[in-house]
Amino acid sequence: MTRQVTYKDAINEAIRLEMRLDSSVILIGEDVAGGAGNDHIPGALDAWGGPFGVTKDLVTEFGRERVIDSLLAETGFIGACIGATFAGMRPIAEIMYSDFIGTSLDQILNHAAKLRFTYGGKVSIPMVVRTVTGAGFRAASEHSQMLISIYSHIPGIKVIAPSNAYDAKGLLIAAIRDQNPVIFMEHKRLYMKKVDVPEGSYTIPIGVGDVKRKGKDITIVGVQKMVLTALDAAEQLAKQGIDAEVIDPRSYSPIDIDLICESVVKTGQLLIVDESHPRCSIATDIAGMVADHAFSSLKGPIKTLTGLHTPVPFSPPLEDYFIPSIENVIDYAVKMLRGEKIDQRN
Amino acid sequence: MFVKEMLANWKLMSLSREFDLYVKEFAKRDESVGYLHTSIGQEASSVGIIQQLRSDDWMTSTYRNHSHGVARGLDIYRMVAELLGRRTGYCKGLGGSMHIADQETNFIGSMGIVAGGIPIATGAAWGSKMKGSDQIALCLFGEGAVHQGAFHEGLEFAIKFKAPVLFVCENNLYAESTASNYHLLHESAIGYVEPFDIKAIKIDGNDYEAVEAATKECVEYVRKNKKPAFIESMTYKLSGQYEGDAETYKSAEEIAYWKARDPLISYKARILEIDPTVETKFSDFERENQLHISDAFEKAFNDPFPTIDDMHHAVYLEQEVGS
Repeated sequence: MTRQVTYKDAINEAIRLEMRLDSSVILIGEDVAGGAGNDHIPGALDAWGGPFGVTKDLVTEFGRERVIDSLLAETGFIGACIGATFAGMRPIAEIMYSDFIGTSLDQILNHAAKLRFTYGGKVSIPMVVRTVTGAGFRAASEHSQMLISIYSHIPGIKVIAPSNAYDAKGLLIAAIRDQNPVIFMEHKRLYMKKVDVPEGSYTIPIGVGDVKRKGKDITIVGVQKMVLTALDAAEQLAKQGIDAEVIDPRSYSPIDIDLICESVVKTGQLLIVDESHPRCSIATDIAGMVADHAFSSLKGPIKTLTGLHTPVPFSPPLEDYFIPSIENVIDYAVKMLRGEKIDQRN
Repeated sequence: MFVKEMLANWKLMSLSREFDLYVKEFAKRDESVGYLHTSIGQEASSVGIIQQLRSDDWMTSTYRNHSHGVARGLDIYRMVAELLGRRTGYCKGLGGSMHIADQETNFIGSMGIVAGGIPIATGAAWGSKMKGSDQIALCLFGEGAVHQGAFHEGLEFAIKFKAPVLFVCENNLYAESTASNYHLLHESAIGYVEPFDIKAIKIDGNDYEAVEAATKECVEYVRKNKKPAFIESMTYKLSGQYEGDAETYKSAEEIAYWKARDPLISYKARILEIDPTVETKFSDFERENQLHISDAFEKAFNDPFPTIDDMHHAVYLEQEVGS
């Protein structure tokens, strides 16, 4: 049965279903159960379940042995999860905000990503690191970053950043069943958004992108929440007679570059919308790959519409300015199709 | 029987020593062996500790891992093949000297980051406990590692979540070229675990019998109580940080002092004290070990290098989608 479910609840369901299916699956992170050490909390429903309540109430069904409130020490628990995979566990670790991954990066960069390779392909590290991305929450510079590109740069890990509840559930189940370390990035401003989601278990293959809107005039690739921005823009562009195709890569390592190239071959125009910083980013990465593979199909220059080369500011008007808007997308698309010069946002 | 066991231990220590001596000489004429960190001088510590493990216990090491691999009973030929980057090596030649591992003997791996293995060994022990197994993990590292966050975070994790892991700090008095009397903020590494509720002992790592007794006790403690313990094993690297290190930071007096405490010499003397009739065994063992190692080099040298496909297949484990 399909019903409307929020992105946050879809993630909760995916974890719950996999924990029921496989007793090796455990969840560990800061406050994932919540309330550890406080006996006065009457029930698990009163505990946090993470700062956004994504993992709320899982502890009721699975107990504190499998839903574990970690210490505030990401290196310690990410490393312990890597080690636990050798003993046959399949841990899901939560890093409360992707911005905190710096505190555990060595374990991900030099160990999770490399153990299989360095030891001759004889082991695998089946673990998932869930973490929260994105600006627009008035959370300032250290709780608002995207950082997808940093992880996608590293061979040996897979990187997923879904844009809706349906994709989130199917991809998270696929990630938990994957034999490799997977970074699963959840956008905090998508948590309350609902779409149709089946009740039962299903998987979406990692590395397969999705055409969210079919069109013929211009290809717009959105990165995570920017898929929604691109879709809103596409509706308005349609009123001006511009038929935009919107693509959601969903996975960033591996990335479905063929899907993007096929679309570019059809439309001849490519705009990539990514709220992250402009340099060494997913946007420049996709632009580079399309230039390599489909340059002759392009009718004009590839454009990237991104956040700025500044940290994410707190001040609300500035933060709103930092994130690419629907109007920005419309402006870029119209100018691209008219062959007009576009000044880089600054 | 007792002397027979002691002789077997000495032979294993000698195998580790001869391995490193051969590798040092080899590196002088062939640079293809890459970064080498030998264990010369630390054999009593490594063999005495690792011999106390059960064959299914987990183990992690660092880039100074030759003595650990030998002590775990790894095949010398496959270790040599790894050092030479050959496809027949333990890691198909993709790891090299610094990253020897053997999944068949639960030797999880050798980490290039000094404290990197500390949370990982902890996790293997923790995972085994969750699986209902009584396996423990041995985590070996040098005293330079106590400064890294991973040491503190791994230790805290092990204590908080009662992971049956034995942490062994082989204090060889130098972090690279920096003396431990400069870089340790306590008198020795054990000072760093004193604030925690963890069984901790400091031993003379060059005294095989002391190492054996202390480790046996700690292994039993960890397995029985399902909680961590810590050993600081005092030793000395008689070779440099890596091959080619001129070791100018060591004084002649210091080197002479430690050469007189060479664990192979002292353990041999101890065995002869018990049974003087075995005198001739030692040179026989050395010759046998030397031959074993030179044969391994000769054989591995002609082995193929890994293929480009081997490299690509080692990045991800591919599987059926959704399975």
